[in-house]
Amino acid sequence: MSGVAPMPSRDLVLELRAITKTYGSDAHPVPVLRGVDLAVAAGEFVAIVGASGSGKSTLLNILGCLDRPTSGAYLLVSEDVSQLDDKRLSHVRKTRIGFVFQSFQLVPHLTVEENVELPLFYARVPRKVRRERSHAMLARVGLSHRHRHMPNQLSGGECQRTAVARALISEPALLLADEPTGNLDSKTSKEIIGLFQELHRAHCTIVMITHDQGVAAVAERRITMRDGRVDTGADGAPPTNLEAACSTN
Amino acid sequence: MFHELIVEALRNLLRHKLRSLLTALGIVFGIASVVAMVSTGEGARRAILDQIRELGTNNIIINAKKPPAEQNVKKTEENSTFEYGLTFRDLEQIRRTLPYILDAVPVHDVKEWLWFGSRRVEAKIHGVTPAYFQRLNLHAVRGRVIDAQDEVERSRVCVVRSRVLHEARYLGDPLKLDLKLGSQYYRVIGVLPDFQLDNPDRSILGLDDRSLEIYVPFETVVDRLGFTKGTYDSGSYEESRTELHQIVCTVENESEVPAAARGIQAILATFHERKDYEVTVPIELLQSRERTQATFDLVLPVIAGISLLVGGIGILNIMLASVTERTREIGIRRALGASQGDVTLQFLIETVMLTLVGGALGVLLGVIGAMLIERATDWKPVITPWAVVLSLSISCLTGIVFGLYPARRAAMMDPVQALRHE
Ligand SMILES: Nc1ncnc2c1ncn2[C@@H]1O[C@H](COP(=O)(O)OP(=O)(O)O)[C@@H](O)[C@H]1O
Ligand SMILES: [Mg+2]
Repeated sequence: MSGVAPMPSRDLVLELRAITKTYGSDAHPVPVLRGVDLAVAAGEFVAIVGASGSGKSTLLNILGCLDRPTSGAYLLVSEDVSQLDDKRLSHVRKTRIGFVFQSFQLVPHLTVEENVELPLFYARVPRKVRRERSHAMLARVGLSHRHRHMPNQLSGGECQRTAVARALISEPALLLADEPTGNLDSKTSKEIIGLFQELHRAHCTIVMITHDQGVAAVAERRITMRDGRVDTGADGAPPTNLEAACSTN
Repeated sequence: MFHELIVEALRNLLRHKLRSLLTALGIVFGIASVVAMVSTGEGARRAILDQIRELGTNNIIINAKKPPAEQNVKKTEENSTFEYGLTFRDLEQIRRTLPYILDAVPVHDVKEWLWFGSRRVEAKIHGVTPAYFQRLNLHAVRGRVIDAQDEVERSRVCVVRSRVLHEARYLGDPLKLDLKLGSQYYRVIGVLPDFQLDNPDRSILGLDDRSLEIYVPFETVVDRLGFTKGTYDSGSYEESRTELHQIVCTVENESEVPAAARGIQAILATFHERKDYEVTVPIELLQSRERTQATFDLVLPVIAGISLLVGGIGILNIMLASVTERTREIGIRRALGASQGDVTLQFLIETVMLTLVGGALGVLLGVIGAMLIERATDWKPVITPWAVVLSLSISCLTGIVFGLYPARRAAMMDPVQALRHE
């Protein structure tokens, strides 16, 4: 399976080479990622599964440029972002990355539309344009009637829809989600997963961490993390051609 | 973009109105005290300047001074009358030898009983020439001041302060009033206004708004009351003779005052063996008051600095707490693309808005305070625009100084940790 050259017809959105992340001090290192290789092609929907503490969130934070790897190379849209300074990394986050978290992470004292507009605010987009785009995005996630609501007036599902709208507003190359259904009941979970599937059909590139096998099943490709490494093919599911092409070099 | 940050900062401050108000209180009172002090200081300064100007900045005033008793022992041996004070010779010498002196005006003072029926009050009679009124800028509100004709005729006329009429309980036409001074009657020919404001410096002119001031032609006083007066001093009768109690010298230009004053000192030193005179230069008085003001100007920033320091530390404290409280918000903003600079700016603007609003409230409070001080004193507070601008800039600077550390702390947070907070 490994060693097969990537298919040239599909562009890679991201590529990780021997990424490691070690916490703790030099005297007591805590290795969390121990050499992760991963490639995700444009339009792919990848699910990351694995036991708690296996390093999924750490990996996703590195993918989202919130954190820097200890070693290894991270190519995001062919640019090596593994050792950028804060300013450049912030720029990458606001232009290429959309984040959705388990606990929604909405700013509690900003309205729904203001929350959605935040990435555009930091991208210095004029207020009027921001408002138009946030309304369009909220319409897309089905929240047109909630522009002026405060986050504490929303249900969990609505909060997560707001978060999705916010993640998508700057038209990122990569949508990252860390257990987006972890705080939702099964019915709302289905709605949110439906939303992700819809985005996938619209050619969004999605990397999603999930505990839920059912949720993982809707993804195009599944990656299992074990002890800071990608456990290739061990989950029993036969790898597709695409997976073979993109997961390793 | 910047104005949105300001609006956002104000919104955040308004979310915790009480907390913001309490936090800014240090700045509010710091700025308020500065504004109140500066404006009343400015008011007091102008009041002092006005008071000193009232004496005439072109004038040099020489007063007779009774020397200490020991120095008179020699005199009393040969003669029971002792002489002191200024003389006509002094006046002549000053007039003749000093080229800068435009004019020198003599004054002879007498204390005399002023009778209202059977009631008597002590009045202060100033024997003055017509030029006196001109040099000290005194204008009659009723009638006229003393003129040359009165001098020549040695007429028994007088010009009074309106206080005298009040004291006499006289309601009729003042110009038809005859006042009994000692044993003689003097016709009132003019009324001078009372002083509007307290001026301790007026005592230099022998003027006092509490005593009854009456002006009589110089020649009349000398002619009728003489130069010698007797007083009972600690039980024994004492006779003294003084020709002139005061000489008011006027120069043409303020710049000539120091030279003229030196000349006067030299002349008097030649003719007087004892120091029975005193030379006062209003303009020097003014300069020394300005030096006192300069000390005040130095103390002010120290007081202001301390209050702003205390206020600033309060703000630092609350902003640090606010940053901790909003750790997750910081994490969210960072995840959405805010750089460290963006976060720094956000918190810095919030702190500056807090101190600026505090400063504005302080200016308002200071103005009110100055108005209250005005009610309690004669000083008219002067609110200069620069004081307002300075106060607001200082508030702004305080915000930057004490807001920078909390803002940097917010910016340096690890985004991943911040998102996990709580
Ligand atoms: N800042 C940190 N310092 C030390 N250890 C950390 C830190 N962050 C995460 N870890 C450790 O890294 C491991 C992986 O964490 P995480 O990526 O959150 O796992 P997952 O999301 O798969 O549950 C855990 O054992 C966790 O304790
Ligand atoms: Mg996790």
